[in-house]
Amino acid sequence: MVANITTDTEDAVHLSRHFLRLQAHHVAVLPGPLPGPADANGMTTSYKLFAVGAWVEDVQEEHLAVMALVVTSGPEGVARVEPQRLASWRHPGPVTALQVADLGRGEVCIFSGGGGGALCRLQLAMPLAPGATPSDIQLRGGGFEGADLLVAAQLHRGPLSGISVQSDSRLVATCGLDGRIFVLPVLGDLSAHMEEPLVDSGPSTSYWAIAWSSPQTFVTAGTTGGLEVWDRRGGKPVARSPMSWGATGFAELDLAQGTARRISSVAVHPGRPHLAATGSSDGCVAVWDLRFRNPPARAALDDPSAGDVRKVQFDASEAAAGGGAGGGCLLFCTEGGFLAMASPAFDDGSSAQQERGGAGGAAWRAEVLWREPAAAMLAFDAEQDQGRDLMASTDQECLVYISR
Amino acid sequence: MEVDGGNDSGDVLATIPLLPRGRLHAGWGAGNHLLFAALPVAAPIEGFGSDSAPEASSDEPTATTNVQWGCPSQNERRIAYDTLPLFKTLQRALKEAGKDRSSAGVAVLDFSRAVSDALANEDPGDEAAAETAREKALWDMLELFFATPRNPQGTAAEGLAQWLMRNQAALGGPHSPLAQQLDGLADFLPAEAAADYWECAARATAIGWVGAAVDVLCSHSALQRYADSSTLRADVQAEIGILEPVVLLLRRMPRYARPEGFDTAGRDFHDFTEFQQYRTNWVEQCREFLQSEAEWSAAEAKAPSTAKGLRAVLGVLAGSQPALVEATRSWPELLVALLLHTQPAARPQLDLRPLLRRSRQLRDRADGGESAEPPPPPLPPLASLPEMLLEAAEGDAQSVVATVAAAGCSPWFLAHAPLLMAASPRGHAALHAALPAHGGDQVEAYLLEYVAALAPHRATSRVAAEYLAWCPTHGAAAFERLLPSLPAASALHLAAEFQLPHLAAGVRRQVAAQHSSHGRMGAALAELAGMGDRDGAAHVLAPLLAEVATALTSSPQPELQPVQALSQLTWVLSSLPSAVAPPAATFLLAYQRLALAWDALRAPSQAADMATSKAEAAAAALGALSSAPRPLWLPLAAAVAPLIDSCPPAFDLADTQALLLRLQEIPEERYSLEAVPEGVPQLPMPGAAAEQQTLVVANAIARNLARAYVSP
Repeated sequence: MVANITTDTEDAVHLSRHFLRLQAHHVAVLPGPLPGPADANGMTTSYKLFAVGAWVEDVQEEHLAVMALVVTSGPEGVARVEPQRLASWRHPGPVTALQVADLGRGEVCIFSGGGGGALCRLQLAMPLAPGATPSDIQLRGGGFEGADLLVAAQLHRGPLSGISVQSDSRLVATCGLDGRIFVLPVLGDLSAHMEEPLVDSGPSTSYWAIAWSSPQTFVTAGTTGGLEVWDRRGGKPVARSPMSWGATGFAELDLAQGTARRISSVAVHPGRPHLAATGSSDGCVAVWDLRFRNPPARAALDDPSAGDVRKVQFDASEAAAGGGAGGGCLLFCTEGGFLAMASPAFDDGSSAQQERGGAGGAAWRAEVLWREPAAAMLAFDAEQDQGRDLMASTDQECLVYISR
Repeated sequence: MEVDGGNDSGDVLATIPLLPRGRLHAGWGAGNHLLFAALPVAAPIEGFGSDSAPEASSDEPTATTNVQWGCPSQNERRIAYDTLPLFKTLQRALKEAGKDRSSAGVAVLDFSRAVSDALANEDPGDEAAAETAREKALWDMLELFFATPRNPQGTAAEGLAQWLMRNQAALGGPHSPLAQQLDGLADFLPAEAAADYWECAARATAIGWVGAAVDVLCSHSALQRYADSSTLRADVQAEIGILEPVVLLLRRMPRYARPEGFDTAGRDFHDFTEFQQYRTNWVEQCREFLQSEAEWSAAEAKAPSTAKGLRAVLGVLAGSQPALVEATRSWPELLVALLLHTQPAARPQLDLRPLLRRSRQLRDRADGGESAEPPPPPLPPLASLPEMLLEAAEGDAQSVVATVAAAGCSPWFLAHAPLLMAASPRGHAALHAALPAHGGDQVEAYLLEYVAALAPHRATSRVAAEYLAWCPTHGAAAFERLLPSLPAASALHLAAEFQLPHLAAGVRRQVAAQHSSHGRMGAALAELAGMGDRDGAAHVLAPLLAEVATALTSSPQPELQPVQALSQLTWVLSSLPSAVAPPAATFLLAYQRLALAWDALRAPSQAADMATSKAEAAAAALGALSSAPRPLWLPLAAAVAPLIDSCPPAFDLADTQALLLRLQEIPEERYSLEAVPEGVPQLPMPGAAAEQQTLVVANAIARNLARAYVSP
């Protein structure tokens, strides 16, 4: 790529851009090995493994690919970053959702959803020993046949729009535009559950996003507006956000723009399961207390070209460190090419400009981490343990790697 | 049937299968994309004549073929992505600069250098990279003549030397680039043991890499031996005697208006007269030293190869034509060498043509003498480099464009090179002149060609759309046509960014139609309502309205039942701005509220709760009745008649009177020809049932009216 920009500032942040030769619509970081010992020059090589759901222009096909960033670091920081495509399978239709289930001890399941409602599963055994290389990755099970990824279960009658994995209960939940929600075991025969949706709201409802909040409960966003909390043991929502808070938590904007605004992404705080983050239209993000006692805290990018939020996620690095006063920081990316962070605004006057939604919950501050000069930021993911490594993909076949 | 590219090559792009007795339909996709559909047609029906209109047969499949051409390769896509932000920055800067040509020139130069960097960012050794390198050579040349400010004397020797240095790999012909040769010297100890050591020194000197030449000479082991040895050895002394003066002369080589960052050795001059005076003396010194037999004879006796090599270097510095020919490897190198060492005052517009001819002739002669086989011809688009060089040197942008277009440059190059050339006043006048049959100018025409190459491909279609914002004549129409083929999220974002709400509405309508065709009513409604399409929203709601209408009209005594789908749509329906909400939405919401209140009313509860439920039901009933489509008013009123007729009264005097007035309008409405909303039958009830309902409602209203008068 033209710019391998290294911004080794005082905070020693490395940022580089890499031409992937595929348009990754979804990115999921995989657990990988720790780097081996340094060589004679003090350089270490680490492999940052990740999966992408992508359109491969050269062959005109949708693929699920497992990739690695080979990062060579020395005493002065990151010296070289090289992307490698390790394996790639044809995906049944466009990849509309991607999620990784880390089952521990290197056992990993990659779930991908398709535009036709199919759920695919790829089981891998990842090498975790320090110094191990991607060649030690083992494929498990029969999630593929030759160059094709196999459909594990045809669940939805239309695009599968969201996947969420609950590691403790080893369950995977999916939602679709067909108004159906499935909860399935991570392992085992998924096709046995194809006719048993947990929820079938009918065609009048479409769900955009889903995220587990506890081993038994999950939260959804859809045409029903706001957030709905479900208990998997029942078929109806156990709680939902008040209509007065708006469809996205920005009541005034939602009222003014009606149904044009919607939530596109939901994430639940890894350590505080009562907190959910949503990303929505026009660069808006919100943090909801799922007990719905107070309106959500909100932040928005102060740029008219911010575009809709494509993905939101709690910042694992902040969560690991205890988070901010309001419950950690958010990372999000937008159609306008922004990769940004939102955090509780302190009383420095900087929050006033972020109050685009008008009266509501606490105002958070949005800060741009990186902006693509002329591309959409389609997806991103952060390393789960400490959130130091961020990988974001653009619609210009580019991967942005940030090491914090 | 074969489809070719319409050019002289006659390459077949695709073969279209035709069906026997079939009909072939062809249509344009976005950009360089043709769609063919071979439709089978049924045989003419016997007895109806041979000219009866054939009809599509449903038995045979339709064969469709997509034909695309000029598909961007990986490398071309990367360049497209890297160039777009630079292009946008340039356009903004030009807009800000307005008529300030100086600011505009700075912006174009910045753009050009950034693009050149982007083109240089490629793994060497790849054929695609080699193609890019050749276009980069042309790009840098155009930058030199059209975008780089001229020095006061108007010379271009140093500029061309820098151009050659930046594009050595592309311009060096079949020979190894000098940089590669120089790197190779590091493998030898002593350095002069390398077979091409002296060739490197002379070649670097000839093409102006004086710093590199000094480094090469300073790596000679004689200097090292001289420094290390405590007692001077005669052979080293002899070598040092010719080596040091040559290095000194190299370090003092006069340079006029050397571009920033190009080479480091030599003595810089900014005043041309001073440069000329100094150069005359310096060349004289070079020639004198070359002829000082005392030093050379001693060195030739002790170290003949060193003496020979240094003579070659010195010959170059002294401007000896044979030495220059010997030192260079291609005609661009020789041209630069001739300019630097024989005619540094040459001005491109006046002097480049004869120099170029001379350098080509000399080079051809030298190459013919060395080998029986002539060197391979340069690859496109560099085959036309001499013409382009002369045209560019003369500032003839129009001719350059014509040559570039014929030379096989990529659509990317053709789209962006005119921007560079338009930076010069002459280029601006030529390239921005309106094309008679086109409407726009050449700059726009080539941009549109580029857009057409990018548009049909998912990875690059958004890039294509972004370029259209800078196509003033045809951009808007092309954007409108391209937008529906983009991913919806991209299309909506771009439409919002370019402030084209009507196009955003079109995209939402397309998405809504897709949802609607799959029965996703909520999603469809959200899209339609989001863009303010009241009629579209009404259309989506029609099945629900029909469901409610059927429930209300299927029996003379209708039951109020909540509709499952409506409970899911409550949010969307209640979020519709009043200007967008179709009447059906208001009614359906009110009906659902009434049905739920009705359910609550029928559930066993405390007396206090009952009163509240009744009040809520009455309010809901009034809402539903006031928004009900006319044909549904009577059945709905009949359904809530028990509530109207309840005691204590649920409706006050005013409400009851309003209901009575409304009832009185029913008979004339029932037989009116007024349009009824989609989904509602015009005459829902047979006459007898309607009259029975009228009676029930009238009685309920009458009794409640009486109660209201008695206990207001």
